[in-house]
Amino acid sequence: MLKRISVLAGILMLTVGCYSSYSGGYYGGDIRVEVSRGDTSSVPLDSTYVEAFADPDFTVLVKRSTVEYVYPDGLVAVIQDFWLPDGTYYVRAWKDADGDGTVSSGDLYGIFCGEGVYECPEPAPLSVEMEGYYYRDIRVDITVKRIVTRRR
Amino acid sequence: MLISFISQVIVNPPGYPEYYEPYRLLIGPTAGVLPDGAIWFHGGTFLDNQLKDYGIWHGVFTVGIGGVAEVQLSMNRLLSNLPSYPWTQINEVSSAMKLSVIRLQRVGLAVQLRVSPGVVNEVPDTIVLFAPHPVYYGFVRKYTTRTAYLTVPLTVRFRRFSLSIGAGIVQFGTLMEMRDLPPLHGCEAGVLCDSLKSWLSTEPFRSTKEESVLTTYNGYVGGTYGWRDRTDLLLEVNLHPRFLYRGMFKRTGATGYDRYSPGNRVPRDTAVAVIRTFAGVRHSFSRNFIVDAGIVLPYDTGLPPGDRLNLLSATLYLNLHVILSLKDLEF
Repeated sequence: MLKRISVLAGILMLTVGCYSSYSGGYYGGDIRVEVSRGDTSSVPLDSTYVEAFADPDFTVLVKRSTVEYVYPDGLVAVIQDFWLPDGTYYVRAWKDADGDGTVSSGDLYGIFCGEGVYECPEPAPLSVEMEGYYYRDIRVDITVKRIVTRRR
Repeated sequence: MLISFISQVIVNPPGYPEYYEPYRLLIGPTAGVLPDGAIWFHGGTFLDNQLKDYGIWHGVFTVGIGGVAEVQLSMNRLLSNLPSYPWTQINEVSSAMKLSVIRLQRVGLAVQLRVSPGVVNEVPDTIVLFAPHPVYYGFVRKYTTRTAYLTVPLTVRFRRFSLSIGAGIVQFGTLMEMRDLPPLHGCEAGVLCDSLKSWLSTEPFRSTKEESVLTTYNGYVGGTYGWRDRTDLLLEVNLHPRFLYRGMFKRTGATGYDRYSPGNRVPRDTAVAVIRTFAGVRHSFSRNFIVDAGIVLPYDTGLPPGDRLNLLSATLYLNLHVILSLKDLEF
């Protein structure tokens, strides 16, 4: 009997080990940004920037991406995964139509006014919160407008 | 007197024939191999600072074949000196074979090859990004490590003394992958993108699929003294490489950004020598049950000079041996 127990103890020694797994934290949210045309201009939406700033004056650029695809009707462009870490941001979209590197007259331009709000004088804050291990999808509609005065 | 002495040394070398003998020092193997058909389980704990993470358990199963070879299968923690942040090991199994070159009588010589086909360590880590406020982002470093130890133990017996010395080559092969990184896709400009790209530029191995191979050496010297009929005293000095993965922290005491900054990372796979001195006792409770207990004092050459020898790092080593002959089993 003792020998049997010792054999079993040995097998136990062999098989017992540490096992656990770890998954890294995923902080922030993946945002689906939809840029929808609000005018009748002929400037196409491709190469439109989507930008997130840390301030409402659009001075501290956190992230800039370019729309990934444009719908066939040319009225809507989309970025599927516009990832941002936790925080509050101010989002705008613009297309540098004249290629001068700044937001200027003739460019397409729009700001995020809040979910379901498409026109506003000042940008609305976009709050991104930690969602643990899950992706967070936020739909943001941004209307692209023609501006007539140089913003900055 | 002289005839008695010679017969003691040559014909009836020390060791107690009615008791099985574990053919190892506390850690290092000796030149002996198990008798044919003998099976040997041993396992225990190595209570060093890793205990505060998950503890260390090792278990080894050995079979003696033909009196000239041992085959081992073991589950142990080969890389037991990772810095003291949480880490995870999965599937740490190694196999070994020891061949007797000169059968252990007064002198013995053997060759042992121990290989681990792939140990996976998953280490949680953190990136500090700026958006523009600092953002701590967790990800996982996954290290897949293959190891091979080729060791040549030599044992000399003299009355109650048995001296063993071993030297070998150690090879580590590591493939590092980084999982759950922040999405870089579509990041064209901005402080967030700049900080992420800057950090990734310090991790040139992140996308390589090539295994990094590091070759180093190990060695040990030790001996036993038959103090009582069933009790041996053991002393062993063991030099074993401590493997530092690339990307691990140089200083674990740092906090905040200093901890996670690229400057506090090990730039490439590195091995530093850890010299452990073991002093212990081996007692046979019966023919089949043997217990090792000892204290271990490490000297870590990878630490700053003032920290290399620290009594606070002294630990306890415990190991239980069960040695049986298949012929004795009555199932």
